[in-house]
Amino acid sequence: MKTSRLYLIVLAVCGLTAGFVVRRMQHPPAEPMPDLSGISEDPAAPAAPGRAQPHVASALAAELEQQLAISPGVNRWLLWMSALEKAKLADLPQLARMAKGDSVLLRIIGARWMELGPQHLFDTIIAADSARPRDTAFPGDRLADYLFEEWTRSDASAALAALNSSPADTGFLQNMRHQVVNGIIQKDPEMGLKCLADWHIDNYGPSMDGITAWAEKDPRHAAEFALAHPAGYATQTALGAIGKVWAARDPEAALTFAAGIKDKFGTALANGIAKEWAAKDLTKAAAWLSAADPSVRRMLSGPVLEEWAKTDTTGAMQWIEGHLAGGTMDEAVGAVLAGVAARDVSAAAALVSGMDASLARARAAVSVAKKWMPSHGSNQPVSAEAVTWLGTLDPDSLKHVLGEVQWQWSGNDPKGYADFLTTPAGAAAPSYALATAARSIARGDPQAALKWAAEVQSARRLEALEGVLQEWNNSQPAAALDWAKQLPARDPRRESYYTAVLEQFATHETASTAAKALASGNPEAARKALNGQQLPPEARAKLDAWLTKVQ
Amino acid sequence: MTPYSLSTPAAGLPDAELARAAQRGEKKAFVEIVARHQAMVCGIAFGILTDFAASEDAAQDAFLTAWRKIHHLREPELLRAWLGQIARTAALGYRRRLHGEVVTDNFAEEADPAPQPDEAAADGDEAALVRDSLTKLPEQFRVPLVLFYREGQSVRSVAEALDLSEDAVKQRLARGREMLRERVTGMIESVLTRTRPTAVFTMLIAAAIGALTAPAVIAGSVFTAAAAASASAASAASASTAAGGATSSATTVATAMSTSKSTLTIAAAIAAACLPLGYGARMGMETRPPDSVRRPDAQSAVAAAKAPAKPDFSDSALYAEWKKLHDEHGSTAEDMPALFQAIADIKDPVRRRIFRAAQSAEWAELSPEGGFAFFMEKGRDSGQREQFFSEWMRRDPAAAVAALSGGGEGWDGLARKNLTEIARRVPGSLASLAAKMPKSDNHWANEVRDAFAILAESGLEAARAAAEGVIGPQREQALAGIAKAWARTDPDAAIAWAKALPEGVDLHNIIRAALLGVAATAPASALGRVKDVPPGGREGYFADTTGARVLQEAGKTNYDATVAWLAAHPESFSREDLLGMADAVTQRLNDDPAAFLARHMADGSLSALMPAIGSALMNQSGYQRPVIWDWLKTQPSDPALDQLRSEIINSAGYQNPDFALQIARDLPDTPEGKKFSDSLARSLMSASQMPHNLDSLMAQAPDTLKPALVEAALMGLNQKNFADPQKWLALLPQLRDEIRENMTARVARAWTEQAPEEAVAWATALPPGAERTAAIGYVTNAWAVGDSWRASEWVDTLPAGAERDKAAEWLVQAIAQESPDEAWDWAQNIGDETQRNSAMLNTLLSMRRRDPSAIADTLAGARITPQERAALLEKLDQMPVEATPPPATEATPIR
Repeated sequence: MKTSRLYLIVLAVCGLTAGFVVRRMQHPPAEPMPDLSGISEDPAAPAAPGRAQPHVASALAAELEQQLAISPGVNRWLLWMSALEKAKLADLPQLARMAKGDSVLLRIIGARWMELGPQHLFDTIIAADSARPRDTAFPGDRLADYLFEEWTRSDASAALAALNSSPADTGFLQNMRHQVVNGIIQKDPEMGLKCLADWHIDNYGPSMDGITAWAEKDPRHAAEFALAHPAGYATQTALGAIGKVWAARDPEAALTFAAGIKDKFGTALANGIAKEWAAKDLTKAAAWLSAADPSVRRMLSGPVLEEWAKTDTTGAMQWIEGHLAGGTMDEAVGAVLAGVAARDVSAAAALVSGMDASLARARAAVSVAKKWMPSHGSNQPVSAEAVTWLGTLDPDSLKHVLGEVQWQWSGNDPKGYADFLTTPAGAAAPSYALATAARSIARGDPQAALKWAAEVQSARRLEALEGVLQEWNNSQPAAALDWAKQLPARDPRRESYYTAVLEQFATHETASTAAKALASGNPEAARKALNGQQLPPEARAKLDAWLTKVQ
Repeated sequence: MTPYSLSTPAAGLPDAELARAAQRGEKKAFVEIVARHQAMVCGIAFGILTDFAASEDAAQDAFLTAWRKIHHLREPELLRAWLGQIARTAALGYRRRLHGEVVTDNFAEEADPAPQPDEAAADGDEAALVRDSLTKLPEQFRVPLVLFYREGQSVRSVAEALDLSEDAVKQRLARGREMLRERVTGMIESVLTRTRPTAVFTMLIAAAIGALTAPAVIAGSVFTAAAAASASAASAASASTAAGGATSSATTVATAMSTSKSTLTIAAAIAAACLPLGYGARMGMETRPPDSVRRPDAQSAVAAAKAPAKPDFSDSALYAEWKKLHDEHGSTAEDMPALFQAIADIKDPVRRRIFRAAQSAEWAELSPEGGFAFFMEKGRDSGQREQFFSEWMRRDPAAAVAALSGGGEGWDGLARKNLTEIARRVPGSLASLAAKMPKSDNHWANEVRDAFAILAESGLEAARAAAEGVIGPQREQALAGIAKAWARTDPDAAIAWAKALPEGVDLHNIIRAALLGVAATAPASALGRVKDVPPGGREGYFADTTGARVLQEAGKTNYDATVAWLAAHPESFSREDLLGMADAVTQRLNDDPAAFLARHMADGSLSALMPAIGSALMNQSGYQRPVIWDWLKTQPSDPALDQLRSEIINSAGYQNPDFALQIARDLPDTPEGKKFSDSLARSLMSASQMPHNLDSLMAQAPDTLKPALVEAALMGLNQKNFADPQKWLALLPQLRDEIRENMTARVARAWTEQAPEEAVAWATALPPGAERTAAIGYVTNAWAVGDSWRASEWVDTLPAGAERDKAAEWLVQAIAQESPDEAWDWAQNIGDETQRNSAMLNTLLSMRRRDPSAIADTLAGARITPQERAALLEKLDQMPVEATPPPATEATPIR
């Protein structure tokens, strides 16, 4: 009996140990917490820049973790509530980790952190971002979003100072600058515009709400300040908003100021003013425009006429006849049709159909087609009515239309766009329109694209085929080469293939792929294609040498 | 003494002796007390709280209180009754806290969806039924009933615990049982028995009082104590609780061990039964805070080391406010909308947010359907709707998903956000939910695919059938999820299945998903298969081709193997595909740029990674440019490194003009340096501020860069940025002779695009001569590209001569492709023979490209001599299809 008990004990202990080990394997212990000795005695004391330590152990967090393990439902939140209330700055990094990506919780933690010390949060985020190995458990990105959203609202200067004085200029910080600018420009547009210029942020479009309120106070100053701190797209947008405000106060002075700025910023400002003025007092706007010099009229007739045409198409057209000529008149007709299309696109299309072929008609057609196109990214096909109307356009108008809408159309509905090009109207499509269709289909299915190219009007078939092969060779050269190798030696598509390869060679210099392609099959066709290409001399010499070798 | 006492001398001692030992501070004696009385203590707590998890929490509090106050026990013989009192006090205190917190009329603290230790023995429906039924019983009947079953149906022990006579207990039991409906009784008895506290409970208390020393010893002693306690219970054999199973059989096993021939079987059973105990022991230890945060004094040590203590919100101002909100607005389901509004009105974000979150959980407890209806109303904040739904999902996923299936405002967004969780927790509803979901507007939305992949991981056949049954816009994603999961284990079978699927979905997309699955397990195999699927992706979207997506996944799975494969298979991927490596490259480049570059330079993979490096430098690695530039200064000339230099130069020029100008100062005054200067200038001028920034850049740029800047500015002119012609014309004299003409053409083009009449006026106002003739040509060409009608009309007004010929030649060049017949007419009328022949050849080439059969008719009707016709045909025959020669007299056509 005693021996049996001993066995029992031993076996029980073995089982216990095994269970212990299994648990440990399933839940390995967290990395040991670093020594606390180096941390300030007062965890609430603001941390010096760079001193924030995202790995500090927190007794509060440990206790919370235990309690959360047995507390479901509302108690979970009450525990968090209590813990965050008691939390010192040093506790927050661990609490943020414990949120495990819960966005609601992270916003709450972020809000509490902001209360206790935004600079500490900033320093902790930067420390975590710079840590090697990476501290993947610390949700720095999301906390940073919150930090800068709130900080720029509560103390933009501090946020800016933190960003500008951080010793680490990481990509992360650069991303944050966009967010900060977006926040600052709402509250302090001058500071925001200056940041955009200082940080060379050229392609960003922050919200203009703050700009509008700022411009209300002194639009001239606002315009001058924006022009003195150019920052690409944002400046253009800001000037548009300023122009709108200025137009409501003193449109004449505003336009006179804008007309004196001979660049795209001046155009942006003037457009905003003219559009607003025309919407509010068409008669005065038109009168001012009538008296302006031709270059100003050229610049500003578009926005005024677009507004005018929304209510009085005939009047707008009569004004054009009396005041504009040449290319400016054509542009103006386009603007009038844009105004009509905004009201009734079918009516605008009918107007275009009734016009004689001309540049004015082409511009008008572009306005109507733009209105008819589903918005970019909607993935919606173009309506049958619009497709039918496009098919009735003269070649030159169609060329202009496709030049403007091809990306939108092919992006939303590549098949619909490509199918249109196989109709008789497609025969008049410019080469780039065919190339766009070829690319968009070939990316999804090169074989289908080859079939499509074969259905294009005969006069354009070769171009379409080359477009397909260019895309295919660019994206999957090996697969394209395999296809070309299978063609009969005298198949004219071989020559198209070589042309496509050479086109790529000229732009990407993928020499060895091109060489392989040229070396296979029919060297004469390759030679012919080579002779027709405009290539850098050294590239031509290289290809020539390869061809000589294979011939 | 229990017959299987191990090392604990306390085991088997009478209660009074144990109590005295505990009063002397002997922790093991107290562990024995816990093991012996835990069922009673938990039972009392459960009788009051009617919630398994809550009763254990209260019981833990009770034992910890007892440990702290054991020296107050004046009559150790009355230990059991004393413990009973403490248990009752603890449970009532717990209930009061609950009462104040969440509910006012019952004890229903919500059970965590993850089963609590004991509740695991009772499934959710049973537990709910027991709770509901018991709640309706008066406490005087409920407590004895609970104790009776938890105490092994011993009337005497119940009487002792409640300080009642045995007769009184019997009466109350009888009355209590009568009060329960017949059909419920059996289940309640069963559940109460199965949910008795186990050795894990004992272990947690032992850990809390610091009685645990080493895992095996602890487990052994606790096992013994718990086993002794369990063995005294009549039918404690609950198969669903491993520890209970082990302990209840302990006596039998001990006997069998000495006599049975089945020793091995029994040994295995014992070891297996003890395994969960060891698991529990480890788990209990994990919940203790790290040594570094324990307080040193003895009392604090107990507090710090104890197992999860009951939350105490008495010192929380926020909690007080939370309670006040409930006092003001109520705590019932009907009160929730008013409470919601009160919380919404709080300005302070911390309080508002946390109260809102807590209220979502509260509402999901009180009235999930009501809460759901509230949050699904039109105009409600989608974030708050999601928060509420996630709370409901935690609590009762099946009911939450069922409600979601009913539709309503934003239902599909909720479904999409929770779909992977639904696949895990309510897998049976996934297919029907997916079938109802509309197509996402987000090109990158993969929730349906990922959810079906999760489903497939738990059972391929069933998941496949479910996905194949999905109809509607999500069918492709559902099938893709199956392919992705399947391909991780059997790529060939998954791809073969995908290829054999009926039409109606893009099979390529499903095969692409399979490749992503392969990439997650066998990167090289996936990379080799990419060419079997079309490139895919959408133009203008970053890294979404098949190759890019597979590379991204492969790089994540095994970066080194992926890079090695790329190095060994150059040109297998397009530049766009290689952008798939951008994330992996960015991370490594930022970690240590020099080491990263040196490594890939040495292993020959730098060129293959260059597109990804270029992308990194334009994005998250932009700040590394100075470090990399410094490193490059120490490196020799090499094609791959020159490529890298170009990437640095391009990205700096575009994003960081200050650093770009520093680079410009570093560039040597050599042909190679000039090449980089030109590239740098083009990048600086490609920024959207151009030409606004030209003056400021010219003021700061080194002299070596200035000509390149002017040239780049002129090259970048267009209709939109042209604005001030005089500014650009003034720059032309600064240019080198060999490029001045070309740059003049650029100015003319931009001017003509903006204001053709003004440009024509400028050209015709130039002094007669070659420059004026050339300018007229450029203006004509640019005008004809935009407006061939007016350009033709204007050319027609020019008198015969060199200028008209030049203008006509450029006009032909502009219109030949779109209007070859008109171009042909113009070409025939050019006076200069060389220019005429060039224009005619140009037009014929365009005709041949479109419709070769038209050439013969055109030539037949042409006003040219037979010799000229023959010469043209000969030249035409020599020209390949693509050739488009420039006008005969110019080397640089405007394009």
